[in-house]
Amino acid sequence: MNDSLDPRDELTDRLRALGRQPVDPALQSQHLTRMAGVSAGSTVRGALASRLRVGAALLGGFLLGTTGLATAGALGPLQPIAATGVEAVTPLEVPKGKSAEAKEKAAAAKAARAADKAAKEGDDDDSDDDGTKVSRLADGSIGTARYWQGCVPTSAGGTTFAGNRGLYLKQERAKGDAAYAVAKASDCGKPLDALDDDDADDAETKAPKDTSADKGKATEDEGKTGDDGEPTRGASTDKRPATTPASPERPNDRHANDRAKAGAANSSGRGQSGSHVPDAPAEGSDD
Amino acid sequence: MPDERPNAALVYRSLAAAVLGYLRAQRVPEPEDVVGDVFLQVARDLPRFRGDEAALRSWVFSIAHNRAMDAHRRRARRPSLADSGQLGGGRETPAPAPADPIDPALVEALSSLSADQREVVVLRFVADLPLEAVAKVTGRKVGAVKALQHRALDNLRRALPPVG
Repeated sequence: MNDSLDPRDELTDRLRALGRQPVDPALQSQHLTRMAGVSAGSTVRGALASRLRVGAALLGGFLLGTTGLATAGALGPLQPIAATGVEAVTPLEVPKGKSAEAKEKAAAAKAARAADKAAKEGDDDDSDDDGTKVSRLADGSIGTARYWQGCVPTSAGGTTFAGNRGLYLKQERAKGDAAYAVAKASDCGKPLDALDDDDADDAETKAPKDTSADKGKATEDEGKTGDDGEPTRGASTDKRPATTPASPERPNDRHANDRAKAGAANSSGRGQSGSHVPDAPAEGSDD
Repeated sequence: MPDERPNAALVYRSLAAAVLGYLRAQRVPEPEDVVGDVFLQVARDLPRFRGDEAALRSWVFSIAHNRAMDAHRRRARRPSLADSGQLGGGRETPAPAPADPIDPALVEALSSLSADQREVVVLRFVADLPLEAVAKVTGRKVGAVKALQHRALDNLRRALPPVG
């Protein structure tokens, strides 16, 4: 002890003398006996106990850590882990879920669907104007059997037709007003079932009939008549309500008379609106 | 030492007197029993000790310091009949001096110091530890230990009558 605060004087000598008091030999023997017993047994037990303490601390730390992580959700859902563990020791069939096998199956099914779609995309004729798929019959009819006798095919000398009534009228309108008028007067493109109904309706329309459906058809026919470039009175000048039915009971119905005139010009003899509106007897022009 | 590792009995023979003097100077009740407890723990933990002779001395007095603190706390929780009823009316009083102290005047002067000063001066001179070891055992900085030692020696010189 050579530092500056190690005074070698009488006081420090007296203090150091306190630490040199001899221990009673009997007490010393007693202490050494106890120490010998402790040191002999403590080497093995102490090592084992220390290892057990370290193992317990590690196990406790692991449990606390995993519990904390599971509580915080950092380990993800534990059900797949538990299911895998159960599957490993039992013969149970556990669904694979999002396993690699399931993903492979999904990818194969997706590839098959893509190939099928690509094969179908080659046939563009079956798609409608808006891209929707339609089924055509051999004569070009869309969806159902239609009336095409004496009608104009889509190509000269061909055997397929426009598809339906609307497409047929569109096709004929492009050729001129005369062709359009003829097309309108024909039954081309109409479903065969509708033609049968028209025949039945023709018989029924001998009696007065005032239904809302007929009113709508009459109004629609008025507009279509105006498309010919020959405005009818009902479409352009007639101020009566458009829902007024054209009836044979009312010979003064100008609209019915006009349509009767147009029907007289048709070569086929079947008026376009004849299925809905009874043919009115032709009268002289109001003019 | 015949072996690389210190022998517990040899450690006892070399340090037991200093530990007993340290415990007596700290006014620990029944210091002989506490010495037995200290070296029992030394014998138990000695296989795991690593260090030189100075570190061994510092380690043994760390155990003795903790045992002394335990003894003081135990006495404070369970005051004896002499402490509580007949002598002090519940006020804590110092333990009676050892039966046969070598220097009763010095022990009496040590009891007049504050606990911090007494602790430092006893570890420094009775246990014969260097300043760094005292700082480590008491959990203080070396400068604080120096200051406490300086004041403690001044107080002891004033308290002790001059010899001769």
